[in-house]
Amino acid sequence: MKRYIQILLLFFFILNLSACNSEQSNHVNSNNYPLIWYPPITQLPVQHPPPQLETKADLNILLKAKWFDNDMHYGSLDLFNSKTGKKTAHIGSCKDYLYKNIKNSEPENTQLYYIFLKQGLTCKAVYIVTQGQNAQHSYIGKFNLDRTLTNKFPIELSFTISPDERKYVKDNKGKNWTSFDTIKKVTKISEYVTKYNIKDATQTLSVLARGDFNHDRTEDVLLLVENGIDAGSLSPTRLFTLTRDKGAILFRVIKEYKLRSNEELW
Amino acid sequence: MATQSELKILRKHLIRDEGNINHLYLDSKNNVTIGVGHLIKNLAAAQKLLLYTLKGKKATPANIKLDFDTIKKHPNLNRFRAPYYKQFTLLNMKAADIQAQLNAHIVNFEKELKRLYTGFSSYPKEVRLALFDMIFNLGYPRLKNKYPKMNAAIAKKDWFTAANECHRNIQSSRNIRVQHLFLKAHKQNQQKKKSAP
Repeated sequence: MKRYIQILLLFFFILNLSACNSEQSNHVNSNNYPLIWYPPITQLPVQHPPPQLETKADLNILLKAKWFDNDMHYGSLDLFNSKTGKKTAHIGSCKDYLYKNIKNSEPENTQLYYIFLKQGLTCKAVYIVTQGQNAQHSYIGKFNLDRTLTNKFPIELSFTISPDERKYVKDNKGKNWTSFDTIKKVTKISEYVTKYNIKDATQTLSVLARGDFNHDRTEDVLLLVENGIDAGSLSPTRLFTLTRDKGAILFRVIKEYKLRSNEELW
Repeated sequence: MATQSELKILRKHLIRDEGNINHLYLDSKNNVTIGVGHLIKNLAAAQKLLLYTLKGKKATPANIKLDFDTIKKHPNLNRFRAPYYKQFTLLNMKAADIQAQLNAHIVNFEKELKRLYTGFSSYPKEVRLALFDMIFNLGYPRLKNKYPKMNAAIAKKDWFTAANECHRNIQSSRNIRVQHLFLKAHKQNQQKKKSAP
């Protein structure tokens, strides 16, 4: 009887071991994964930045901090109604971006519009991190912004411009980034920022933070994507939360954040 | 060739969207730039520009190298407006030369538009202005390759479909303006058809 129990225990032990191996590719373990943010998230034209950005309280100070308000910096912008052209708001901090009613408002020209978009989405990212928490599980595994990641990132990250392209991406959900564009060159800018050259354009990806942002206890990545074309001024920025499901190779988009869709957050 | 009134509108729109700066600066993507969003690929390209010292003397290649290298030391990272770079430069471009540079850009874009749309010269003024707006922002390769439905509609002079397919990731007011241009051409077409015997 004793020997029978020993054999049974050995059987369960082997079964458990093989189950762990099947997840080895991207499942690290179920320890606690701390909420962590990286330097690109702090790139805002703040006059007096908080001395450190180590806690959520520091990030909250950053959200409230005033920006430069002069002709030299992109620290403050006047916004106008996109239909009537009438001035609607003055933006001079993350607090303004997040809490003022800027629906249907935009800066007066294209150059400022792309600045507005990047700054606003960076503010939104800071806010998302303040609402984030530690994760209990992670299936993200090794995460370096390099060439290998291009096969693991979803098609939604692609640089789409026209309605034709957006439809293509919508119809091909579940495919990877490289199924839309060929990555010609990869240049590491820093530990957290990498530039990917595609045909006639570039996509610069910045990892802003890691943690649980949708409160499902699984680790996610907060990613800023700055697009730019070589022969024109079009350069829209996009902000995503991505995650990877258990056993999956491809990352999944949890959400793409829109600057003026405030209902997504509050 | 674009008419004088078209040129006037194009210049006005470009200056509004790109600014008009008479010294070297770094744009938000760290590209060395001057004039009305004129991108300078490298030092050699900069040294071909007609620039002047503060005393009004024509700048030498060495003068230009100094300005070029100095502003490169102050990366933009979406922080600085163009006037910030004034303090690091010793040279400027004359208003007439900026205008000539802008006109050359417009001529170049027109050539590309004619290559892309064989009937470009015969299109209504509104359609030509809409396409100029798009090529300034998207560049020739993207306009050519990324808008198959819009380009097919333009080939058929179907301005209504073109209006629905011209959307870009850009501020709403500019999207609306271009869409309205196509729609205006469409309405004019409809009126012509109605009034035809």
